[in-house]
Amino acid sequence: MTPDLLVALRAVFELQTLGFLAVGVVLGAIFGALPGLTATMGVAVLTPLTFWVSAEQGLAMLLGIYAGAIPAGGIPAILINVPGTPASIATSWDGYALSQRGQAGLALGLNAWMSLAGQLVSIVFLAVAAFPIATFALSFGPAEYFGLALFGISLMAGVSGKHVLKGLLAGCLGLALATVGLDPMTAYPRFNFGIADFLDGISFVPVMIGLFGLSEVLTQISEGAGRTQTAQADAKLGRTTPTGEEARRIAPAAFTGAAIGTLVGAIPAAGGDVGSVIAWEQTRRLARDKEIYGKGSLEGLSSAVAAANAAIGGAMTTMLTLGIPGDAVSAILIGALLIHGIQPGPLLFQNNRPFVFTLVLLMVLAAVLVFLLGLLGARPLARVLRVPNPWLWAGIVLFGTVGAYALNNAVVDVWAMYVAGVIGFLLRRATVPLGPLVLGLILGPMMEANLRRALILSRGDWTVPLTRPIVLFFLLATVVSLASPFFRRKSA
Amino acid sequence: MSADRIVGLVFAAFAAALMAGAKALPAGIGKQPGAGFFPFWIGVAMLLLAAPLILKTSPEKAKEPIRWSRPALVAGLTLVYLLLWGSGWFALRTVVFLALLLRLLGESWRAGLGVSATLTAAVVLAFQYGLRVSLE
Repeated sequence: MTPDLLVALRAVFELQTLGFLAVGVVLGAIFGALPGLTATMGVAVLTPLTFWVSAEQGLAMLLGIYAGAIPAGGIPAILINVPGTPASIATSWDGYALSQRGQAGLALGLNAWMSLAGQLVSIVFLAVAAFPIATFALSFGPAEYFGLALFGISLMAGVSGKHVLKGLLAGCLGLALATVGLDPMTAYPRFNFGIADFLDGISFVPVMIGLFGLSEVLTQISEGAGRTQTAQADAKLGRTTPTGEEARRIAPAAFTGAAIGTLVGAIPAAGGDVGSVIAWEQTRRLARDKEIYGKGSLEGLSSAVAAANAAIGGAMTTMLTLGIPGDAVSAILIGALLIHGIQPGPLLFQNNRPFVFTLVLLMVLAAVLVFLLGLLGARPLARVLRVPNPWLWAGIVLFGTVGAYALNNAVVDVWAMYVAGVIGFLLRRATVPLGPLVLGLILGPMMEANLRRALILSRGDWTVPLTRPIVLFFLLATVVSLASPFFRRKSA
Repeated sequence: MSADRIVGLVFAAFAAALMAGAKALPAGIGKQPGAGFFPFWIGVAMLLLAAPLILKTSPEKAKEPIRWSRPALVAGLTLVYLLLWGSGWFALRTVVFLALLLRLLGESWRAGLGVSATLTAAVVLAFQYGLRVSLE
């Protein structure tokens, strides 16, 4: 056993770290089980609570929230046909049909089993692929990093659905906001309007709380969301474990879902929502009995749940190895890690290997805890659907406000949170996706600094970086990624 | 004017302001790009991306009208709460703010006061006593 692994084991099996992980899983499950509250919102609102503890303990709580929210989002999707998180949209397609057939228990049981399977498959991928990817990325120079960031931003076009242009505009808005503060190369103040608090740039966490917490509350209030959820699931659950024959039948679908979810999750800006829909569709295409998909197919449900959960490990792989967020939650996790002085990226694997091992072990423990909670706590979790919406909204507003303030004891962060919340609300109304904005905000400093470094190294000659094969690959991939939505639309 | 055109115009205006602001920043020395280089080209990209939205002529589906009154009242109430931030009496201010907020959202005074007192107590316990953050 390597000394790094021993250090990680000691850090993970500290009572406090385990406690933070367990609290995170339960909080995440509550956020996930309540439609309207998402994993992103949970991590954003609760991140400030972790700044007073060690990086390992803080990360344990945030990973717990992330890992707990995604499976719990499947509970309302199965019981009342309302996905708890965007990642559980495809879960509702077969899960609710099973529930209506009196097999709610089996659907909830599969939700727990497939969450465990999906998360474990993606953790294996992380453990196997992360070190080689990080080692390869160590050979990157500024031009390669710029190409990588550009490719990451271009992927927004693919995941912005019908709103490709708006997605790209949101990404550019994120890049523009990332330029606020001191210029990374010359330390010249930019766009801070004389406010000293903005010299360090816009505080990322308050902006996230505003964009994903407050704006969601304002959206629900403006849309006149009801006082409580639509229905309760008080019917008998029935058996929760699949039979041996059922398990054999669903295993290939679950593995397909987990593999697709992991790969989609690893793509910057694409998370469990995209992954589970693609996985469900692919499994259906490969199936002999396609017509039962959407009508209570155990394979369909298994594939969707495994994919939604596998996206977690995929996103974490990209985040840790390249420093690029795989989805909105990992974007917030990057912000949280930076505050703890930990910079995700290839150097992390060289300079802080115990932390990488710690993170992988925490993810395994979180997956097991989530599984146990899913099997034993589905019924109590379903009861949180009875909490009236206004109570939840008030809680989000209060915890968001105090959390934003507590980061630096600065009122300007609270204002930043509210301004971001109002902007997020208006952008949602205008069908401008928020994910690309976050990606731009995260990737902006990396993109700018590396572009300028590359140009300095090439004495201002734009063509020099193009002679490097990896740069050329990323630029071609960027062109394909930007063009593909238009070709898809034409062929449709 | 269609919603997409308004979105395009807002982004174009932002892009123009960004480019103007970037032009006012140091351009760089020799072939080394300066502080204004990156934001200027972001502005150019935004302007190019906003143009198709502004020029778009296809008819749009009618959208459900937004209920502005409740979010506007919530925003107004929150603004007052924020302006009073740092004036002391955090717990009392917060209970009153949340109770009013919950009343606006249709809760009874009794339920609103109960929930707001519970939430405030939780926040004070977690942040002020647990994490030693001064909320006054």
